[in-house]
Amino acid sequence: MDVWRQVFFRSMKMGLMYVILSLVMTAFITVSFGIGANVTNVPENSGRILDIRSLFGLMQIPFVAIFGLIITMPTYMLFVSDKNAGVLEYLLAVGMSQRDIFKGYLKAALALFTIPTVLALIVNLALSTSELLYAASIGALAVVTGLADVALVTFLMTGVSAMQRKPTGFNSPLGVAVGLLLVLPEVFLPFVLQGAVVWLDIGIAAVLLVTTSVLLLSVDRLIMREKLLP
Amino acid sequence: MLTLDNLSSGYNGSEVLHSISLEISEPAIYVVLGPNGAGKTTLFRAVAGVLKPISGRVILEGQDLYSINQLRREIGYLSHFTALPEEMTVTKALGFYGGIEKGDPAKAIETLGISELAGKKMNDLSQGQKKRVSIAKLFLRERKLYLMDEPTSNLDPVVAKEVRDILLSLSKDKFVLYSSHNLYEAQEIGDFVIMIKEGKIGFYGRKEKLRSGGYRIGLRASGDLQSLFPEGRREKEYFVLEVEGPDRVGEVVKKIVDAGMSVYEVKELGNPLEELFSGGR
Repeated sequence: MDVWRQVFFRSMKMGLMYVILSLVMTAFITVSFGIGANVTNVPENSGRILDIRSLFGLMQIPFVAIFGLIITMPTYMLFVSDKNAGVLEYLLAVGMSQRDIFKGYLKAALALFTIPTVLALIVNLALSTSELLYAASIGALAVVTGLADVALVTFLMTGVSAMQRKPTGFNSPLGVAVGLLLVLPEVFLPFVLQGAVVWLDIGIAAVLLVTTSVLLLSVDRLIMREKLLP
Repeated sequence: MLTLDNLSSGYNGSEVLHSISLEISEPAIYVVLGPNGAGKTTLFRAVAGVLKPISGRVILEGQDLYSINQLRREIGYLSHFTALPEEMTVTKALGFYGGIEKGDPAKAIETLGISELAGKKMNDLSQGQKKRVSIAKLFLRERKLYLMDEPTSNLDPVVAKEVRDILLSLSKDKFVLYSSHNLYEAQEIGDFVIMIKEGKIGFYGRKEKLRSGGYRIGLRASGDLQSLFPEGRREKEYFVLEVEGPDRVGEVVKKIVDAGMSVYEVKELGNPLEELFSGGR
């Protein structure tokens, strides 16, 4: 079995509470926003029509990323535990490179991310009474943004843990905070930019994906093999 | 089989091993001796392919270890750390590596005789049991070179002997590098000794060629020991005797007791290994 599958199942088992928490929050927020999106548009004081339906849809984008971050926290902790136990050292000995190892944890985190995301997409589409195409487009953007955010945070957290002499796993909440910060503008800016915020979302996702790709491609040079030793 | 060609290795660009060269061509147990910080673990990590050489090469079967990844399959590496996922059972932990290395966990369990531990979680095992499981993962499949960094530490004497017996049997047609602090263990199982001192090789050759001082003990007893041991001498409050090793101490004590005397104290005064490390050969 590939390393990433092992990490995926071990993370699920070790962090079952995170999985449950992420799914419950995903269901709650998605249903709430889905219902909110069906409210009739209301006028602002200025007389301008506030497109509540679009707002609720757009605000779901960062939340998918946030729930993705919650469910992937056990992966960062597992990385720390494996480093301290000498598992990563053994993986280097069997011929894996730093990139192979980081990629394994990254793929496992992304696989975990799909769990709440699939739930969010199903609920979202189920509650869309009309304009399925619009809901699907928003869903696709949410997946890309969440994927990019989770990928970068996973890389950063495993990287920071590797650089620490004796990591303890305290990085995990920090990871969620960093990931949250990266998508925070997407929570509030829909109120200002409305539909145009989609371009900002696409921009943020692109920057995160490019950054993660560059880091992953250069990880063999950025993080020396000895940094993965206990 | 294994050649180290001017190998320098270390951590974060800082050298621990300095231009080490040696050649291993005969299946046997090669005991790597050295004080703490001498570079034994770094040597094992460099040969295992965990650390990249700062300069020089590790050549396995005529090929550069870092150029051909497939060569790693010929090496089994036991580090200081158990390298076992703590939350797994023994069977699953060995299955984890079995999956990565395409090995057989059942064979590893059988070789180490740990079937009674198979269903237990790693977290529930003693340090000695974890060590046995950790050793077992080297037997997931056949290899040519075994690197064992202090394999008998944390093991009780009975299990330590079992492990040594396994290695002795392996060494008939495999290459075993075995690190230890214990000169007597080295003399018991090693065919060759590689002594490392300050990141360089202090001695490499057959163990018979390694000249070490005797094992010095201080004795206090109820009678005159000089008549029993004419070769001994008195130093302050102890009667000092030099014997071949710790396993000879029992004979000395028995001789004193048989002579009708009581033994008050037996104390180790000189460790020949320390003398070797501090004074070279």
